[in-house]
Formats: sequence, structure tokens, C-alpha cells
Amino acid sequence: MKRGAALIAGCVAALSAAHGAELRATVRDEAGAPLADAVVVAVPEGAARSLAPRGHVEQIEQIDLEFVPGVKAIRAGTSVSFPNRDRVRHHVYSFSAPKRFDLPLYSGTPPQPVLFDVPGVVTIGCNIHDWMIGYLYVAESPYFAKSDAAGAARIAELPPGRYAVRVWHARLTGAESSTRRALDIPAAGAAVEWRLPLKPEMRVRRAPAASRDGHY
Amino acid sequence: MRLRSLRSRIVLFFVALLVAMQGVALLLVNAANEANVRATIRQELEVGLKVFTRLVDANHARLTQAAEILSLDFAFREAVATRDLATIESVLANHGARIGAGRAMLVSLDRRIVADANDARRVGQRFPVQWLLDLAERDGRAAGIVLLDGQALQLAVVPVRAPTPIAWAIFGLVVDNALARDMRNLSTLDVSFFTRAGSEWNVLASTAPPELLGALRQTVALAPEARQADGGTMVGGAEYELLLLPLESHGGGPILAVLGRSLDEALVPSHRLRTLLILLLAGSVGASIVGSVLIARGVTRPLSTLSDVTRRLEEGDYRAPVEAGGPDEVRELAQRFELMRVAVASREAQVMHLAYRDPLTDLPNRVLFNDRLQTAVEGSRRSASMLAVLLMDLDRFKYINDKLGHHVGDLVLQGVAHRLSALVRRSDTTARLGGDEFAILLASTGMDEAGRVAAKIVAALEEPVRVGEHSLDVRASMGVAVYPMHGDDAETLLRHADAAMYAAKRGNSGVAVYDPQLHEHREDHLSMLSQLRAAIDRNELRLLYQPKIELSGETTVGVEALLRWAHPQRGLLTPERFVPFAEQTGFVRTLTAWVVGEAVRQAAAWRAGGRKLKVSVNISSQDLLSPGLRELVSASLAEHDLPARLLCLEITESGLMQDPAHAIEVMKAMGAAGVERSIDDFGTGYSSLAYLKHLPVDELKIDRSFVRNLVADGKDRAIVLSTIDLAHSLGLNVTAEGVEDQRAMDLLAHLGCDMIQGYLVSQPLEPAALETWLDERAARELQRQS
Repeated sequence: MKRGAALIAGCVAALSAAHGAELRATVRDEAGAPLADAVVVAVPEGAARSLAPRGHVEQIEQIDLEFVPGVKAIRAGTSVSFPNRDRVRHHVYSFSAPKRFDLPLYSGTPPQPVLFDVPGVVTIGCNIHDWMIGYLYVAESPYFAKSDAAGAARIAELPPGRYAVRVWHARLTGAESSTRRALDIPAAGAAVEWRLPLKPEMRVRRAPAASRDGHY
Repeated sequence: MRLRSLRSRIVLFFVALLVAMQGVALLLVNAANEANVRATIRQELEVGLKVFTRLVDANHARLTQAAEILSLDFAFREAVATRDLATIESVLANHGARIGAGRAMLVSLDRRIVADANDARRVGQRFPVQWLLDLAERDGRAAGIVLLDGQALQLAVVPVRAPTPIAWAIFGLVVDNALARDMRNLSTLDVSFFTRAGSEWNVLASTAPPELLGALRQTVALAPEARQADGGTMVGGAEYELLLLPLESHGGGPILAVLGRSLDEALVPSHRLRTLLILLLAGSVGASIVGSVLIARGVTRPLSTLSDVTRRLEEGDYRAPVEAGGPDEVRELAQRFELMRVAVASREAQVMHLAYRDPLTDLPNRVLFNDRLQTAVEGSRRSASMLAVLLMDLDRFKYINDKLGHHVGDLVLQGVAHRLSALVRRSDTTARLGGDEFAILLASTGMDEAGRVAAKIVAALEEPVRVGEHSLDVRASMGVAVYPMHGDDAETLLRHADAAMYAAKRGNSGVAVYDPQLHEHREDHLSMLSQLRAAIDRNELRLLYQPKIELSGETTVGVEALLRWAHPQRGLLTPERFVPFAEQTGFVRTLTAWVVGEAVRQAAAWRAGGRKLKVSVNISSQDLLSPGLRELVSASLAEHDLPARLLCLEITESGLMQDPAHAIEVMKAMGAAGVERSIDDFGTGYSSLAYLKHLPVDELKIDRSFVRNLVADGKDRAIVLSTIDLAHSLGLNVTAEGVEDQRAMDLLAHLGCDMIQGYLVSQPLEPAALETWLDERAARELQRQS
């Protein structure tokens, strides 16, 4: 089946050879249910690390006391701004090895975005809102995508070639490297699927908001 | 106290009842109390358990909270994220101290000890309590009691989030004696923690005193699995209620919490209550003994009083009234006794009265009279004075009774009694001895006075007694005996008075005073009577025969049989020496029977021998009136084959007059049988001419008293003449008795007398002598005629 699909994909890719190949990844959990917010990365073999051009700024907003989006993938070298859309202030921080940063209690948008130039996963939290967790996946290659609700992630315009594809999820049990696959991506494109073992969801309970009349 | 007495029974019963009831109450209260205490203690244990559990939970919560607070501290989180070990350790120590945690450490996600505030040597080692971390990973946090390095710790594990968990922060509270004591203060239970290593149970912490720990350990070793030892548990000799609570044992060795309460302690108040109850029991037993003794006495004392009373009544003491106090029932009983006493006393008086009084006349009776007589005799003896006994009966009473009926007789007796009573002094006693016999006791009276009184009484009784329409003559005969002349005891006096009375009766004199010479001693009479009875058997009785001759031809027409008694000592006794008392005893009938039989036999013998002699036999009024006379006569006649006309029955005039009607009948019957009949001693009895007219007799015998002085006394002569004429006029023969001289005989012949009898003719002769006399007379006659 895969061969067939690959063939068709290859045909399509041939038609769009000018646009590059497409990697269609499907991420499921162990039970087979589609998994969203998984980041698929395709790293061309042998390619040197490259950074994103300067001046590219992404953002992770704080809306309604949550990081939006909860999971974001950027290319290493991208700066991310953290605009606070809430009426309350937030203290955004991360102790992750790729980037330690600390935005003390602020409202609005901090003047300087934060540069993330080390690939890896940066776990972002808010000091005063324990449940606010955001994941910033800093990819080392420009070829990455986040899976949607259907568990589908499409990486477009891949130069055909040999790639090491990996997938990451916040609840992934084990190392990301264990998901690595070597994949030849022809011009027609390729598909890849993972079933990932996951840790259980461990959400910190969101504190209830105080209402005006003193009741919860 | 004997168990049979009412008092002891009452007391014993009430005391036993009280003891039983109180004893039962004591046992029940005690048992209930103890059960209550145990139940209370068990409840307390349950509550204590809840408190204990809550305390443990509270500690866990406290630790967890502190750990959480710590884990959220940004600076701490930064220190942890940057692996700033020194900072981490000091923060742990600081926070640990804040909450009084004995242990504080940080464990990495791969379960190695990153920092330990208490023991730096542990850093890098694997955290030994894996299960707690498992729990923390599963639930987000965890708390539990664990064994760590031989210590029991309450641990709380909390993730350090930055923002995702990067390490575990762990706080611990050491389970030591202090903790146990705190728990005891709150839960009021003794708290001990044990752990088992192999088969040995070791104490981790305890509030129990050290000396108890060994015993506690043994107890625990016996029942480690039991949630609750049932009932009490003996620990080192004291009783406890225990709860065994296994805490989390996850391989590190089981930890057992033992919660306990000393029953003995808790039972102290109930033991005090028991002692109180026992005292109460003892006290009330004492009180009840006293009380029931008193009440019992209240009943038994009056009862014994009444019992004394009945004893008195039994002994005849009716005088004292019956009284008793005490309860109503006893008083009522006493009242009834009193009524009884009165009734009995009254009845006894009645009985006494009946016993001593004659019911008809209300005079003293024989018994009372004898009694008084004896007393009077003794009194007279002492005071050396005289007294008199008057004995009297009514001569004509039998006649009145028979003629007019017993009712009239009774009224007559009452009238006589009344009259008598009026005639004597109050100090004298008048008594009715029975029948028509009355006796009077004259105290302090001499012979003259007694005689006067007797005469007065007899005179008074000459006056007729009025009964209804009858006016009856009740002539009395009275005998007088005086103490000490006529006897010195009651019996003798009575006897002599009686003899005197009979003498008076016979002599028709009204009153007779006892004369020892005239009235022979009764003893003699009595002995003579018994001898007389024997006399018949011993052939001491004889019949002498005195011939009767006809005056006209001087032929012997018959003989009169005269009874003689050949008394061994006294010689030959004439009838008046022994017949009177034979008459009194009724023995005369036996005598007469013998006489009749013997006379008939003799007459028959003579007839057989050619001498036709009519035998005359004297019979008394008793014989005449005796129902067996006719039979006796006819039987004798038949037996000896004597024609009836050869037998003649002689009865005195006075004897006939005893019961004239009856006498007439008998005489008629005799006559019908062919037997001849004579009236003896004619002229000395009470016959009236009217009776004479009716008397069926064949012969009249003129009494010797008229014949004796016939020649000299003109009156006697006149009487004899008229008697002869009278007799002849009535068709009767006349015989004169006691002819002693020829002149009398001649005169009698002249006067027309038919036959004579007397010494002139012959004295009474023995049969053989009579025969000889008859033969001589016949020979002389023959001689005269030739």
C-alpha cells in the first residue's frame, strides 16, 4: 500500500516538481487515535545547521490565561514575542536548556522578543499561573510541521532527498530520538506515520477566577 | 433465734429478700456499668481512631502544603532547574524548619536523591521509597507513612513544576514519642507504633511507659492482623481495650499503629460505684434487720401477750380483761378474746349454776348441799359449835304424783321449796336432794333449836299447798341429826338424819330426832343386810308357826308363819330386827319369796301328812305392790301342789293403805286365784271405812294392842266389839291377835270373835314342835271327849 501511495505521491510530486516534495505525516497515539500538537521535523541528511534569517519574529500570545498556541514550532534562530493579551500580568519564564529566559511580571508586549537559536524543546511557564504551559519546539531544520486535530502534519516544499524525520510530542514517553526515521523523500512526496507511546495528561488544575461577589 | 418462731421468720424473710434484691441489683448495675464502660471505651477508641486518622491526615496535609508552597517558589524552582545544590539544600532546610518537618529532600525524576537537608551522605542514592513516588506520579502528589533508615516518617511528595515537573520535593515528619504524645493529647488514646522485622515486632514510638512495652509487643505479636481485639486485652496484667491499625505497608515492612485505653483506669469510677452499692447494701441490710425485728415484734409481742391471756383463760382465770396493743388486726383479735372471755365466764357460771342447783326448784342440789355440809362441819369443828341436818320428805307425794300427774307434782315441789326457803335463815341452806326429799342445814344450831325449827317446818307444811284448783295436803316427815352428837362428819350426819326421818315416817310423828339407841347403827344394818342375803343360802332363816284356833270348837284351823333369822352372832332375830331395812332395799321381796315358798312347802307337806292346815304368810306393802307376787304365789302353789285356799296372805292395814287402789287389784287377783287374804294389825292403819268396803279380803285381824288390855280397858273392849261387828257385817272373819290369858279369850268368845292367836294358845313353834303340839292337843281333846 505504501508503495502505491508513494507512487501516486511521486506522480503528483513530479507535477509539482518545481514546488518541492511534500511530506505527509500522520501522528497517532498508541491506541490509534489522531494526535494533535505533535511536531514533525525532517532533517536533511548531511545538511549543516542553518539558522533562520534574522528579523523573523513569531509570537506566542497569552490569552485568557493560556499560552496561545500551546505548542509552537519555530526554526532555530527565530525570535518569539510574548504579547500579553490579558488584563492581568504574567511572569513568563523557561528553564529549558535550549533557552533560559525570564520575562518578569508584565502586561502588554515586552519590547524585545526572545531569540531562540538552540534547537530543542523549550517549556514555557508562567510563574503566577501554574497551569500555563507552552511548548516551543526549536527545530534545527526549516522543514517542520505541527499536527492538527486529525493528526496530520504536512511539510511542503521539501527538496527531495534523504531525510531523518522525527516527531515530538509534549507527552512523548522516551526520547525524541527514538522516533527518528530515515526517509527518502522523492519529488512526489512521502508519507510517514507514527504511533507514539504517551504519558498521561497531567494538567495542573486551573485556579478558578474570583467573581465579583466573592464566590467562585 | 429459732427458725420456727414467727419473728425470726419475718426477719429472715425480709432480710433475705432485701439481700437478694439488692444483690441482684448490685450485680446488674455492676455488669451494666462495666459493659457500659467497655462500650464507652470502645466508642472512645473509635472516636480516637478517627481523631488519630485525622491527625495523620492533617500532618500529611501540612507537609504537602508546605512542600507545595516550596515547590512553587520561583527562586527554588530556579535553583532546582539550575541544579544549584547548595541553594536547594538550604532552602529545603529553611522551609523544613518553618513547618517543623524532620526531613526535607529533593528527588530527581529518575528517583535519585538530589539534596537532603538532614543527611548529605544520601545525595546520589536512589530514593528508597519507590511506591510513594509511584503514587505521586499517578496522582500528582502523594503522602504516606514510611520506614526510612529504621525511622517511621510521615512523608509528603510534591512535584516541583517549572512549569512541568522537574523534580520531587519531599518533606517528612518523624514519628517519634513526641508525635505519639501529641496524638494522645488530642485523641485521649495511648498511641504506639510498631514495625515488624522478620517475626519480631519493634517499637517505633509509644506513649506507653517503658515497662509496658514488652507486654504490649507480645500482645501485638499475638494478633497483628486483627482490626480490633475483641473484648479487652490483657497487657502486662492490666486490661486494655486495643485497636490495631495497620498503616501502609508497601514492602518496607508493615507499620502498625496501636491505639489503646486502659480499662482499669476507666473502670475506676464504676468500681467506686460498686463499692458504694455494696456499702449501701450492707447498710440497708442492717436497717432492714432492725426494721423487720421491730415490726415482727410489733406483731409477735401482742401475739404472745394474747397467748398468755388464753393460758389464763384455760386455767380458769376469767377475771382479768383482755387487752393488747399493736397493729389493728391484733387489737381486733384481742377484742374478740375479750368477748370470748366474758362469754366463757358467763357460761361457766351457768354451768356452775346447773351443776349446783336443782332446776325445778332452784334450790341447791345434793352436790351443793353435801359440799356446804362438809364445809359447815369443818367450820363447826374448828369453832366448836353445833350444827343440825334436817332431812325431810313428803309422805303423800307419790300419791299426789300418780293421782294428779307429774306436772302437779312439780308444782307442789316448787311450792314446798318456796315455803321451806321462807322458813329458814339466810345462813341456812335448804336443798332438794331429789324426788320429794329435801334437806336443811342449820348452822350454829343446837338440838333444841333444831327440833323447834323442824317442828315449825312440819307444822308449816300441814297447811295445804295450793296448785291450781287443787288444795293438796303434803305431810312431811323430818329427821334431825345434830353435830357433833349424832356424827362428826357429813356422811354420818346425813345417814342418821335419814334414819331419823324414816323413824318419823314409820312412827307418824312428823319430826324425829336421831336416837342412837333406837335406831341402830347403819353399819350394823348394812352388815346385817349382807348377812341376811347370805342367810337364805345358809339356811339361817326359819319359819315358826303360831297356831290359830277357832273359838267355837278350839280347833286348829291354821297357822301363821313367822319368820325368824338364826343369826350366828345375835341369835334368833325377830322380823322387826331385820325386815325394815330389807324393806328399804327391796330385799324384802326375796325374803317374801322364800317365806312364801317355804310356807307353801310346809303346808303341802302337812297336808300330805294328813294335817290340813291353812298357812298365813305376812307380806309387806312392797310385796303386795310388786308385780311378781301373783306369779310367785301361783308358782309356789303349783310347785308344791297346794290348794290355794290353804294359803293366806296377811298384810297390815297400813301396808294396804300405801297404795290402796293397787292393793285392791292385787287382793282381788289373789282372791280370784283362791288365796285367802287378811288384814293384819287392823285398827292401827289409815284405812277408811270406805276403803274397807272395797277391800277384797276374807279376814280381819285385830291388832294386839287392843287385845292386851281388853279385859280392863272399856275403850279397847268397845273397839274390839265394834270391829268384830263391822267385820261380820262385811262378811269377814275376825281373828284376835296377842291373846295371852284365858279371860281375854273368854271375853273374845263372848264378843263373837271367830279365831284367836297368841301365847295363850301357843308361842310360835318349829314345824316339828308344832306337829307335836297338834298331836298333844288332839290327844287332850280326845281325852276330854271321852
